[in-house]
Amino acid sequence: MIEIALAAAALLFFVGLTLILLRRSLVFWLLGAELLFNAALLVALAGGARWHAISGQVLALFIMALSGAALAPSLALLLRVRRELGTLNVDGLRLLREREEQDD
Amino acid sequence: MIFLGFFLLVVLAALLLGVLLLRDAMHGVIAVAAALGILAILFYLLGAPFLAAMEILLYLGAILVLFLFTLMLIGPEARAAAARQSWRSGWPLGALLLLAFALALAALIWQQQPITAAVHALGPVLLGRALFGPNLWWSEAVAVLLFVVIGAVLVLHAGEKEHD
Repeated sequence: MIEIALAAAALLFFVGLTLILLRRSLVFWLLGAELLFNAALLVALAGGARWHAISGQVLALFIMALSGAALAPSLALLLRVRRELGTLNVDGLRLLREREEQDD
Repeated sequence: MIFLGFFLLVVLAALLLGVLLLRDAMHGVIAVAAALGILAILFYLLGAPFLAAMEILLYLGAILVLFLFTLMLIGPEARAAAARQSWRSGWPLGALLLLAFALALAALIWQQQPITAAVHALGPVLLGRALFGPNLWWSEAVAVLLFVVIGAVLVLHAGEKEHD
C-alpha cells in the first residue's frame, strides 16, 4: 500500500509540475500548485504509515492548512490580474513589467 | 487490498491525464476534484481516517468550491480566451526538463528495495494529542497565519475599490 501511495505521489508531482511549466492559464497554474501540495501530503502520510508514527499525519495537516493559506490570496490576485490586464494568460503577466517600465 | 490500490492508481492516472489535456478550466477543476476524492480513499487505506475526512471537507468542500466561484467570477469569455491557446510558447524546453526530472525520479525509485510494512490505523485521538501536546505552538502559528491570510485578501480587494 505504501508503494502505491508513493507512486500516486510521484504521479501527482509530475502532473502538478507539468501544469505549472507548460499550461498557459493561471487557473491551471494554481491547480498544479494544489496537486504539488497533495503530493507532499501523500509522502508525509506514507512516511507516517511506514514508521507507525503520528507525526506524519500532523505534518500532513499542517501542509493542508498551508495550501489553503496559499490558495486564498492567489485566487484574490487572479481576480485582480483579470481585472487589470483582462487576461488569465501567464505570458500576459509580462505586461506588468512593461507597465512598470513605462511608469518610470 | 493491493488490487484495490492499483485500481485507485489507474483511475487517478486517468483523471490527472484529463487535467493535463482538458482545455476548459471548469472541466479541469472537476477532474481535480474527482482525483482528490480518490486520494481521500487512499488516505483511508493508509491508516489516516481523520485526514481522509479532512481531505474531503477542506479540499473538496472549501478549496475547489473557491476555485469554482473564481471561475464563475471571471466569466465565460475569459475562460474561452484562455482555452484557445492552451500550451505555453516555450513548451519544448519545459517538456525536456520534465523528462529529465522523470528519469531522475525513476532511477531513484528503481534502486530501492520494496518497502514492506503493515499499515495500522492511527486515529484522531492520537492526532489530537500530538497536535495539542508537543505541536501546540505550531498549531497556534498556523492559526495566526490563516488569520493573516484573511487580512491579506481584504487588503487586495480594498486596493481594487480605490482603483475604481
